[in-house]
Amino acid sequence: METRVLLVDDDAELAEMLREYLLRDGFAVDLAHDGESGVTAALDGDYAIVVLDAMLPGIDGIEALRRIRASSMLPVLMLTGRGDDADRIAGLELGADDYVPKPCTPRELAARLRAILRRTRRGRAEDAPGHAAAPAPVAVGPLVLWPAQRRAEWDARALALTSTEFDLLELLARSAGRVVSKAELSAQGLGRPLTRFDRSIDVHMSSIRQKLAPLADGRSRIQTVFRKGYQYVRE
Amino acid sequence: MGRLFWKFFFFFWLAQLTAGLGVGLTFWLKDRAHEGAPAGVDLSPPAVFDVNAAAATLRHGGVAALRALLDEQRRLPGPPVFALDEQGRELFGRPVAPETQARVLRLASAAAPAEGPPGPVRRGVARAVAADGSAYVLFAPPSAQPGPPGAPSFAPPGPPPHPDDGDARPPPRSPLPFPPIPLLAGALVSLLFAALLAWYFAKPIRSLRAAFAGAADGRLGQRLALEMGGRRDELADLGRDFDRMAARLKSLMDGQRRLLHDVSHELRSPLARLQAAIGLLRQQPERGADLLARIERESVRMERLVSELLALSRLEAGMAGRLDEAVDLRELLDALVEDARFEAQAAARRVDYAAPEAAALAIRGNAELLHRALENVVRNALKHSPEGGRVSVELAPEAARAGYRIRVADGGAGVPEAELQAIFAPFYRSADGTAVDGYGLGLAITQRVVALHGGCIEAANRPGGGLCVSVFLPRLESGPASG
Repeated sequence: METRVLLVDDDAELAEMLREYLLRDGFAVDLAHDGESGVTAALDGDYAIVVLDAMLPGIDGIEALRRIRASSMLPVLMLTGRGDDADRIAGLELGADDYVPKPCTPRELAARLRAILRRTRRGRAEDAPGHAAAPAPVAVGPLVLWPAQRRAEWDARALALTSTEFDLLELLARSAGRVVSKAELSAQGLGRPLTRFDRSIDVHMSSIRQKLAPLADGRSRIQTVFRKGYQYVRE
Repeated sequence: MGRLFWKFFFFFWLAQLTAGLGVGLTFWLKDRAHEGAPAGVDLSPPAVFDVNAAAATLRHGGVAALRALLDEQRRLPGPPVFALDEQGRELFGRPVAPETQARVLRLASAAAPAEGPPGPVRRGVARAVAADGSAYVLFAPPSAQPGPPGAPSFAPPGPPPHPDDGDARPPPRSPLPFPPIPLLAGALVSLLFAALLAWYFAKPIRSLRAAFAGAADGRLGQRLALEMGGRRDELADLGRDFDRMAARLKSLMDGQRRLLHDVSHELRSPLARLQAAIGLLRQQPERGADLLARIERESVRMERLVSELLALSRLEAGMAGRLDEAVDLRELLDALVEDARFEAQAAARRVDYAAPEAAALAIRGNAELLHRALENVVRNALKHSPEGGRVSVELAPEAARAGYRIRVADGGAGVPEAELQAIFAPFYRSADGTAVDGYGLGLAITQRVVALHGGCIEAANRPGGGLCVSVFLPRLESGPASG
């Protein structure tokens, strides 16, 4: 089955070229050229992932992402063209799964798409009937994660996590009480090596923290260990 | 409180204290001069008059007459006159304090020498000699009212004179030149006013300083007019000038920031397409020719953008090159329209051209820049014309302003009235014109070139639809505008 990708970019020529490239790489790509139609298509169509340009005519990419996240946890890859980090941080905070700075080579874009899709697929594959011994759920205190179903619960209530957030939280929960380095989080959670000055992990962590209730003493359950990484605190 | 506050405060306080002390000193000196008069002698005019009368009585009527006069006087209200003989005895035996007596005698001998005609009594003490040779010193001690008339009003009231003591002594005076309580009160009040004044001056200066510091840190949004309130003086004017400066700087900086942002975006788009094309070429080498043409097209676009940006920044920096060539506008437009017609034909559009038959329409300037500027206007008009539409170019002398006007009109959609000025800003794009090729730098360059030649450019929507851009350039005589 082909992977269906929605590419939202106002530069028609560029979008067409990327579509041609991704087509050869095994993706079925649909195009949208503005924020409004992009959001409509993302929410209506059965897409595996959305590639969203941050600068769009009409509603911009950030606003489009906000509207998508309002009702869907569909994986979103942001194309951030601006030099400043504002869009990048805003995108990640709003629940983008990752970003690619623009201009980028089509190969880089395809690699990022595959990294995100691999993670989201892993769950489904393991969930598939006939798969030997679906892994047991990960439970740490009130947090329970079912990697097979990519489902998370906090105090028996469903926890809405993006696919990247789920992966990062799973990594931390599996090694609860132990520090997980940022390099490991990036490699296994984002599917790409950690680059210098990349704040993506930190932004994702901050989003996860906001979704988990703090410890009894008010501290966050996910602690930053300076220069080392992050640790899920076991109670 | 800044240093300025303390300087103002200190100097104003010092000035007020000095002034206060000066006035006080004057009064004190005057008072002391008054005090040179003998204590225990009444100097009021009625007393002096009575003393004079008594002296005359003694001189002419003898001791008996004096005794009768004084005896009668004692029963009347008014200052009683005392008479001391040579031995210091009072005529009626009224007691006189020894120090008063001594002073009175000393004054009497100084004021009126024993010989010679008696002078007018000036100090309330007179020495008179009767016909029988008995000499008396006459004076009036102050009546029993508290304080001598010359004493400062703020002096503390002295003890009432002793009832048995006929000599009403003056109240005891403070040994200090200034009584401490009024001095302290004066100092405190002047302190208060000095502080108020210093605050009044120092406060606006402090807020100015804070505003400047904020501006230095890049915060240009603050406005001083509010802090100055209804104040109307040079400091308030300074605040308002600061506001104007900050607003101007802010708009310039915002413009620059926007320009930088637009430039980076405009450069990134062709770069992104270049990278996509290269990636595609790697993946599908069989499509080489097609993709290479694409790559070439993108690099040409980038080159054009960079050269336009360079031209614009040169113009804005005032590095325009020579501006004193004689340029024949007619010749320039003829060539330009010919090129435009060639391009227009390919795009199924027409160019109408009307110019006066007169010989040379010369202006002074830079031919290359002017060509580029006018070409941008004509190209822009062609771009926005619908297929089969026509663009009209018209050159005419303008009698009223000693120059020439070039009008370029198209039959396109025009521009919203609110955006007629904005089309000359870099990277302006009409909201609907996404399909139009270009970066929105052409008209911005034109505007700067025209301004450099002392002319002006404006845009208006034509009544029948479409945009008319009108350029005015001054004639040769007037020369290019400096700067």
